[in-house]
Amino acid sequence: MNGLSVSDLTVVRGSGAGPPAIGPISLSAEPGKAVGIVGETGAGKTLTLRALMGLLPAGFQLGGSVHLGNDEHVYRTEEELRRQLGRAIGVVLQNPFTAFDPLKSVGSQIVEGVVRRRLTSRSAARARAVELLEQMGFTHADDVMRLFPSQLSGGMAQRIAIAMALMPHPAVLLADEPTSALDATLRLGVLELICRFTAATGAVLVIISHDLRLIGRFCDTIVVMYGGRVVEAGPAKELLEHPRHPYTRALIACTPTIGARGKQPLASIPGSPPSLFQSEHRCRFAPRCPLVEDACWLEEPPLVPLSGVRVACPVVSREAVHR
Amino acid sequence: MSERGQAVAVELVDVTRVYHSSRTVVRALDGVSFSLRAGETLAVIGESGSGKSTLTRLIAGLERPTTGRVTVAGQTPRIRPGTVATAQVVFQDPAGSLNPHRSILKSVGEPLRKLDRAQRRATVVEMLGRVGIDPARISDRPWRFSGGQLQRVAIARALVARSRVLLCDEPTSALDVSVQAQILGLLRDLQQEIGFSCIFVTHDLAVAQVVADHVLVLRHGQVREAADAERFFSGPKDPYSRALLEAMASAPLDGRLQRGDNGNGHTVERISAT
Repeated sequence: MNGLSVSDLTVVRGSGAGPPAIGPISLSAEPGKAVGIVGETGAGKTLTLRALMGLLPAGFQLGGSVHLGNDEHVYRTEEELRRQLGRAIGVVLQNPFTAFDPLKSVGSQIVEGVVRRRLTSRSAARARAVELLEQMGFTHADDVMRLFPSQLSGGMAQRIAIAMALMPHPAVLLADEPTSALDATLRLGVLELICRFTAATGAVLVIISHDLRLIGRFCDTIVVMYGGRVVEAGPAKELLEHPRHPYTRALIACTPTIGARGKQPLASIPGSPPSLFQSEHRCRFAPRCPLVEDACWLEEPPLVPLSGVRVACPVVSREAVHR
Repeated sequence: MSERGQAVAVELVDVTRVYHSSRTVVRALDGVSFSLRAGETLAVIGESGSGKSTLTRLIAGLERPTTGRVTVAGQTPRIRPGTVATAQVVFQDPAGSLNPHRSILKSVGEPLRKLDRAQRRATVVEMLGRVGIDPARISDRPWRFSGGQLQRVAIARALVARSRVLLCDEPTSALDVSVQAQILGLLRDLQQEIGFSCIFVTHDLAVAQVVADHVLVLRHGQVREAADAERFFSGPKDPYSRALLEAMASAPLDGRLQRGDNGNGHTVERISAT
């Protein structure tokens, strides 16, 4: 299969007793498609991304498997995944300046990765870098190559970081909050660039964000995470127009949108988010859930199909059947 | 703006603020005028470099205008040792705005130095209760609180001395959406309860719509549009405001647009060309 396929990915801390911190997460995307992983602080987005990069912090273990691009190999260990960084996996981080060495020119940094991995010659890499920068909207790409990171604005730096991540023709581009460090007026433009590129080159784009508005606008599939679990996943339009899981509904209700509603108070979710590390098996959203039942405290609800999406809420699934 | 005959809380008359650096002269604010009545909220909207921060600093009394006049509750705002400024600021990063070595009792009680200890403690406890912080945590240091809780503490400190004007500089842009909703709701409730005026600086028009009675759009230090919020959001008059509204906020939660759709791709260019 082409594209990206993740099966039962889990992240376990320490000895692995009790429920995993993250997962199980299963998702698949065809080449050129975009997956958005949405969640608030502490939902486990970044750990998930680090698992996909093979860069889990010490003391954490990866479970499950990842299948990348048209590669036959199924990646089961961190080392195997990590070896694909800068080859089949490209990464764009939140703060573009963390992607650069402040003492080297932009040009030398863009080509460094592919040249070191002997994927291409230096001159071919430079030519590709200039081409990518032009496509990223720089009219004088040659001049940009000579700049140093301190001479870049945030929007320029992020566009260059994207070009850098795209250098090796990755099968998967992982983007961790790629626009939240940017000025609001630049966000759409930069995301648009990322999406257009991955769509054109057939790379799968995985965007991690807390911003449901942006994700909804640019992704084909949305995965909503809460407390390390996937609570709802499915096609973006369906999920946003008919959210099923009580957390997804609450998240949409508290997201401000421009509309005819005027100066109205937003709905908010009472309570605070859970820790990723819990020993009990129960629904992570139960303490804040308006639909909570006794059974919710006794076991973790599995993700089950429900009219086009997958939802981890037995209450919602049961009511849908009865209706 | 003064038809209802309420007291004017903040007034700027033809305010210009010029910064000189070695070679260049920057007009950070250029002929800005507006007035805000007591108990109302003005959302100040603009991109980086539009003059939002300079405006905040002038109203807080941290700076003086080069020309023009700034009035807060009838007086020229000034920061003087031993006094509490009329306009208090809530900053974007709550962790950076509280002293990490001090208990929140000390930080929130700072503007109340004229009261004795027992009175001060009682006032702080009452204020923390109002913003939804458990008063039992009064001795805790900031690191024990989450971002949303710290922003509540920062709001408590800004309001504890009965300040008449609250300057909120992107107070929720570092927070999660559900926490943002809680903080915006809190500000709204407190405003109805206490009746302070609020100047809410933001780049997020959707947030502005939730809080604002009036909207002021700044660009390169100049006012591009000043309007009632309702009128503004139903159709801004200024072309730049319209481009901002389209770029920042359109196509909300109703599924994605087609990739490569021109409806998206041109936003950045269009704004910089306006």
